[in-house]
Amino acid sequence: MAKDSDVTSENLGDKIFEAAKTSFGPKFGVIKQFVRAESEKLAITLRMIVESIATGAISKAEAKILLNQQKLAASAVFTAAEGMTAAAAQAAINSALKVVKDFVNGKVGFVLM
Amino acid sequence: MANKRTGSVSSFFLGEFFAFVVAIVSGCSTVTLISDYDPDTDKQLTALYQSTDAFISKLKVEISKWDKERKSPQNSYDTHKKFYADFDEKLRFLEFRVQSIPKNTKTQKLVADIRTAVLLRDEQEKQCEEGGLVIKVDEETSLASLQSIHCLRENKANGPSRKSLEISQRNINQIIGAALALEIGKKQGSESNK
Repeated sequence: MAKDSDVTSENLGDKIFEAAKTSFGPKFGVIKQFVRAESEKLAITLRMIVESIATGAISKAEAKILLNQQKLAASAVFTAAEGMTAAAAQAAINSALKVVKDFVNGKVGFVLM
Repeated sequence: MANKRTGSVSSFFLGEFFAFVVAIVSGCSTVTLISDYDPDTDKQLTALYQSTDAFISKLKVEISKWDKERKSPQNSYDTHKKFYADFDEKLRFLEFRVQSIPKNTKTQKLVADIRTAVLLRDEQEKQCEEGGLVIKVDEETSLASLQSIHCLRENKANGPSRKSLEISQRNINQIIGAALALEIGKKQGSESNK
């Protein structure tokens, strides 16, 4: 009689999904928080540029360079978020593989995974 | 006889092939989408973060908070040229490191962003040395670095304005911070699979 925690042919899909969700869920939350916090920083910097142009605290040439630099910062934030998502997905896939490893090896009769 | 021999040869090769497939598959029970956490990259990024942050803070100290027009001859480009040369050297070490790691394109891109945000390209540096960089009012520019702000003709003798240093510091910290956040993300990902 199989226990709920056992991996069987019937619950294989659920077990894979469960392992992937448990691994990916919290990490996705962290990535969302990262993007939100960094977007807020970008907004503050953009406001600083606009206000500094208006008050004459920075020159027009400086403003152009700083805006280009800020575009770079925005792109860096999303590159990092993409990478973090890939790392989280990788961890989720590997958690799922780990869960079904014993079941698959037991079924085929040799160490396949 | 010949058939029997052919049969035993083919079953021998079949067995070998099967063992080969098992060897490959058993070594592939994990999936790699992105490189592992690299402590050296983390360490070098932290060092770059500290050196740029300290450098900009030092320039800011020379300028009054209350007088936006004021600049300081202590902040001239020539006085601080060495910082950029040193930074270039440290960044080259990091570039070499991240390029040697497979599946590391995101970190490689972020390190390239750090270069663009802090340093001039070679051809821009030539213009910088020949009297300073000039951006016309109606002209678009690809300049995006702290070094380019420092080497503008208007800033070369007395350094950039305090506000532009503040904004540049935020931008650079954000870029290096993003690269560090990715390394931490990789670390957490690999730890959860242990």
